[in-house]
Amino acid sequence: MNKYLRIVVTGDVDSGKSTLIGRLLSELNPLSRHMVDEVSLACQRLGRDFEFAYLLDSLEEERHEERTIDTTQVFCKARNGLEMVFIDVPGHQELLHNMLSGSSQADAAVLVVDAGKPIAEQTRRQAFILEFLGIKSVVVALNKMDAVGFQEQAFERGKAGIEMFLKSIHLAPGSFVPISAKQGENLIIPSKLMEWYNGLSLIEVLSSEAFSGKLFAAHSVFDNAGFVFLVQDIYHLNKKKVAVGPLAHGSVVLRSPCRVLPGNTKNRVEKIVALDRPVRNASAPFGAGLILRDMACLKRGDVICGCDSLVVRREFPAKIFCLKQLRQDARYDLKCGTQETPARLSEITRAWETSDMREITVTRRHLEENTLAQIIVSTENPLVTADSVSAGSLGRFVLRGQEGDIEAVGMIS
Amino acid sequence: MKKNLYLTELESRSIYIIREAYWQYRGALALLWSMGKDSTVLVHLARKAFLGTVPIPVIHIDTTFKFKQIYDFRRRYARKWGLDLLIARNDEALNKRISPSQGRFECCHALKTEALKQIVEARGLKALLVAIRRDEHAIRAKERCFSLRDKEFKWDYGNQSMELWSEHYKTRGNKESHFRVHPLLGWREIDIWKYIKQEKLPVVSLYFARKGQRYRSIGCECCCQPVASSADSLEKIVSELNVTAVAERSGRVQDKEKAYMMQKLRSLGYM
Repeated sequence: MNKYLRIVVTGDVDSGKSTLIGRLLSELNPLSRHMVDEVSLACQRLGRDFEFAYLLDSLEEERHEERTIDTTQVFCKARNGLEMVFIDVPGHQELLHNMLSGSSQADAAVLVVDAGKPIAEQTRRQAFILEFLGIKSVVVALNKMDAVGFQEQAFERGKAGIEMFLKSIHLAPGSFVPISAKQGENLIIPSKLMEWYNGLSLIEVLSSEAFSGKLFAAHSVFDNAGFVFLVQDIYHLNKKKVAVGPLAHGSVVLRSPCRVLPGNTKNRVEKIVALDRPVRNASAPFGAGLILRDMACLKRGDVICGCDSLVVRREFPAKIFCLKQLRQDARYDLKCGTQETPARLSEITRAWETSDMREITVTRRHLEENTLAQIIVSTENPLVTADSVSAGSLGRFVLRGQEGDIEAVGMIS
Repeated sequence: MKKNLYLTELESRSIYIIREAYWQYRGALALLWSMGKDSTVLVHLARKAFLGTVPIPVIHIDTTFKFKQIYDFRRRYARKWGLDLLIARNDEALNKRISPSQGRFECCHALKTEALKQIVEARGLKALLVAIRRDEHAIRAKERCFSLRDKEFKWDYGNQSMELWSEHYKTRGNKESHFRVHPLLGWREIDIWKYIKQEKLPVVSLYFARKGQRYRSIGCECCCQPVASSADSLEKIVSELNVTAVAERSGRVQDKEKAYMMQKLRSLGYM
């Protein structure tokens, strides 16, 4: 199996995220001449030195305004063979939705902090989002060490500040690495300019067994015997109905008994279809087709399962992050896996302002943008859920407004 | 051969996206097939997603300047796979004898983007499956899996919608817009080749080295340059891609004529 690690590089505006990824990209990969020429030319036109960030900030506006507007991804390979996907996200607050889009794709994160500055509001918010999304493997890169003379004291001061904050939100980073993305120090090999630092370089940390090995070993909450299949659509094959969708967990074997949720009806797997051929078994991840003994009532949103880890309910507690103002008297379109149902916030239990994690007294019947809240969600139709973050798509949901835009992201707790 | 789990995961994510697009746009969905390696993989994924058939039209945007081998491939596999093939050609522009010599930007725009516009309007299409990938070009790296285009085909890249994990996409637009759906966005060039090898898919012969040269990316004959290579088999292509410092689209002149050419072409509706 090819191992690969998806890493989001997050942090405040101008902490040097794009420069960092651009540097890693150019040092780890044979960079194409075409790319280098294009960036050199653009820098020349703008009268600047070679900007590593431009390898990612490809939009004309991004280069003129010197900021990342949208999330992007690049591929690198570490020297030990580990394949990595680096996800760049914008640091600006108004671009938080792009930051979330990027972070939700990640298994791990590098939180980039300016070593010479106090912790910024946006750094706190982004750390929150990592914790909220369940990204536990985090490395803190204290960047711009060149601007503080590569001094140990500056690093220790910066580290102490951020460590204390992260502790308060229950995020325990694997390492703190002093770096200079601009000068390429401590990225691939340990820096000669910071001999007081005894730890690993940034890439060494990311590709270490202790950091990435843990992620690959992570197992699902579902027991091995069962399977979870999300019905995405019903197709016809030779005039027979076939349920298609992702096999989210486990393995399905021909003739195994199963249940269809939320109705909780007993059924049996009669046929497993791959392309146009029947197969004897299939394992996640696999976009399979299933024919059950009784196909009559099966529809999109149903969950076919062969395990007991799922719960059907109309009301459940969750943590949500609001991208817009949310109102308690409004109805939202809740989407969880392939299920969709109208839903409302039946109770707001607690709420926090994400810039400083200050708890807000919940008095009014709405939640402001950028708030994190503990709520009770109630849905019009019964929802098939799992009550753990590691349960994948059935443990999380989105709330959409009338325009179809995502207004809040939720994790079932 | 034992299946590569990484490829299986890419495959299942792509199939999920294809099925989401079909769920939302059943009668108004089409697939763009250039007969290149990526869109051929996309056709194969669609066949898998739909259990052996492709129930949606497959569009070839034909500039008439393609390599002969491409047309041969189209004829052969459209028949073999039973595809509902539609040819999109901007005859008006061709009658005016538009060609790259009048400017590549203008030529690409007229023969590709405009040709596509015409067929999208004529057929009332609301979503197109397109085989672009993030690692092809830094501008394409900014894309979303479901990417909205307005009535004028414009891409509002400063204001894209949220996509969460691998399951939540904004799949509904307004009346006059259409979606570009990109199931292969997260695939790399090397993944495409490994997958072609695993699934034993046919590809146009131009990709294999002859006399020390091969094409990394194919399109119009006049605007594609081969690269120096001795990779004359799938195995050798995969090993070449592990070490090469030559960009995939280095032989594609339309990317390089002017600064930000790709961004400008794409913001007007180019793939």
